[in-house]
Amino acid sequence: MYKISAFSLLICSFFSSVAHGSSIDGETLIYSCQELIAIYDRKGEKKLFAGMSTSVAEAMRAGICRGMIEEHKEHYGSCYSGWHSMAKKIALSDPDKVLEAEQLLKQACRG
Amino acid sequence: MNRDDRPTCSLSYAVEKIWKVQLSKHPRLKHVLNSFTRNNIIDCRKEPIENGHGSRMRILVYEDQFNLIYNIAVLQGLFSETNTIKKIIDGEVRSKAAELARAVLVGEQSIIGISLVSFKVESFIKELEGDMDLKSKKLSSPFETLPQFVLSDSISVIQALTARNSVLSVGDTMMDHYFCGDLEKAYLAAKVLQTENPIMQKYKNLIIKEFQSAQEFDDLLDLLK
Repeated sequence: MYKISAFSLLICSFFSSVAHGSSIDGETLIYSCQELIAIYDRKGEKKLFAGMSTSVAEAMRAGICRGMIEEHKEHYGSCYSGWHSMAKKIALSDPDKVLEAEQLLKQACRG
Repeated sequence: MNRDDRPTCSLSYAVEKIWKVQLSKHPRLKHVLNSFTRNNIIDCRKEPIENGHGSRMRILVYEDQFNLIYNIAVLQGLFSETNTIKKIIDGEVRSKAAELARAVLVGEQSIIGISLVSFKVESFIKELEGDMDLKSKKLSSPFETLPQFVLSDSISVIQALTARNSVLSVGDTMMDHYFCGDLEKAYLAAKVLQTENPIMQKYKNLIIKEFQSAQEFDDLLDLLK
């Protein structure tokens, strides 16, 4: 129950907010997107596996990634990449390179 | 080529020595003990049989394994699944198994027609709850006689319970599935379980909640794809 609420809440709040300069930095976004991709990978592996093996914290982090991607696409209508490919690009980024979340999202849109 | 001088014997001899029964007459016990020699949990040596054709191996069990053999049989009496027994011995589900044993055995005078020895039931459960080495120290047996030796060997204990339509069978099956990580099957068993036992009720509710939560999460992931 809590996982569902956490995940949905974050997506909704990002989707409806116009906040910039958020407290989510690039590194946090990268780790969040890594969680998101991992959850969907686990889902692909076996029925109910994602639900059984994802902690509440992991689900919440994953929600951050998805929420920020949706908000970005809402803002920049020219971003046609799917959320999954964007998340994957961000997940594979180097967390040691100091980039703003905004930049990561912009870069993930290209191509 | 003998690497060591530790005394060995055949599984049949071991079983005869421990219980004074013939292993060949008890296929369930034979099956589980063979499984455990194959995966080397029972420490043993394999030697080719000398009649020249070479491909068959004789299994020789080290004589210091008798307590482990005894423990495997006792655990099989209650839990029946080889995989569950293995996970109890290596510790993975040991405490969960102890809880189940406590729920199922305490306060009962017999189970599926097998008499229980009450002071040994308590010792058995305490030993499972503790950290006694199951590979070297002998468990107390809660059974007056091992179920494998009393029930017809053509059916498993679980099947015997199911045939008698006992609550125990559904509960045991539910726990088996839960231990093995099959949440969906555990849920299906939990849904039909009717019990007044508070620990089994706790497990039943826990499993139902876990399943519903996992299902909801899966559905949400699909929705957001």
